[in-house]
Amino acid sequence: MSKPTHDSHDSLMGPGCAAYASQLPLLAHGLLDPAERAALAGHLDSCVYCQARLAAYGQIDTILTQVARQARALAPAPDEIVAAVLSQDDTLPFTLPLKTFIGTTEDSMSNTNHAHDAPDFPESSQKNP
Amino acid sequence: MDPRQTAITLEDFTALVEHYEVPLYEFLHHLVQDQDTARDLLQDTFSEAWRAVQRQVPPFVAGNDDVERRRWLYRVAYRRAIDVLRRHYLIRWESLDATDLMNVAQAPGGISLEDRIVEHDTMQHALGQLAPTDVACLLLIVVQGFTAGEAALILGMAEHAVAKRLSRAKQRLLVAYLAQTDRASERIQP
Repeated sequence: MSKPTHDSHDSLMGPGCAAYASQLPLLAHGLLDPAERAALAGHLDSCVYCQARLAAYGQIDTILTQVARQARALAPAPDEIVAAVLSQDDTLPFTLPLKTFIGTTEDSMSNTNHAHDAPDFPESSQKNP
Repeated sequence: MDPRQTAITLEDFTALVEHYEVPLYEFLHHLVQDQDTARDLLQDTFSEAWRAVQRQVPPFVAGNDDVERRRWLYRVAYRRAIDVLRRHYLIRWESLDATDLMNVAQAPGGISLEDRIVEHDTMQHALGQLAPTDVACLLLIVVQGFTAGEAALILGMAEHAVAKRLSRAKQRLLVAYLAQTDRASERIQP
């Protein structure tokens, strides 16, 4: 993957470039109105500095997305979250289809009072005690 | 409550968690920059969603679409994260411990583990130079794919303010990333 670098085009920054500095980062996200987009496109046609800057923003978006995605590997399992949420719910401990998460999240349930106190109900007769 | 609105089931709620918890965790992780805090906030967010399910309030009634539920989840997650950041001033960068490194190593992509760690570190430090709301703007629009209008609803600000923040955040992120890259290069050079 290419990375943004200090471009060698800094010396090519023209007097008109500053006017587009705040618009360049928004171009890829469709956040410019048609007039702004047309003016910027006209400027980009002839400005090497802004072309390089635009490419750098695209690379930063790519890197940010890839780095952000890496955190997904650290996310807890969905069953773990559901079990934790339901274990905090004092109103419906035994009317829920516990078999949907027990087994995969036994450890996360084991530290709740409900799990310790729960009698071994058959699935079809789960009732509030 | 509108009598036409019916509650969503536990099965629906479980499907909601399965669908959104990973991207929501990703958002929280990079917003608070702490794995345990992100996990706590994720659980808090879904607990609040479960309470809303039980109260049978929109968007957790049958008939409301996933777009509204997704936006609701991110709005709650964002507000809770900002509360935590304000309360604890938790703007610190977690070091990659052994477990994290293994998990990061398993992430998809064709680059080496070393490059991935350097890039991760560089981007994390660059993000650390930004205000949390700016980071949220970047994550919501660039990474999560929300429109500026949706991000505005999540962040509680006007759409034009979101666009301004996004522009400023990207400019600052680029500068901070390049500065971080320079520092890394200086450390490598003899």
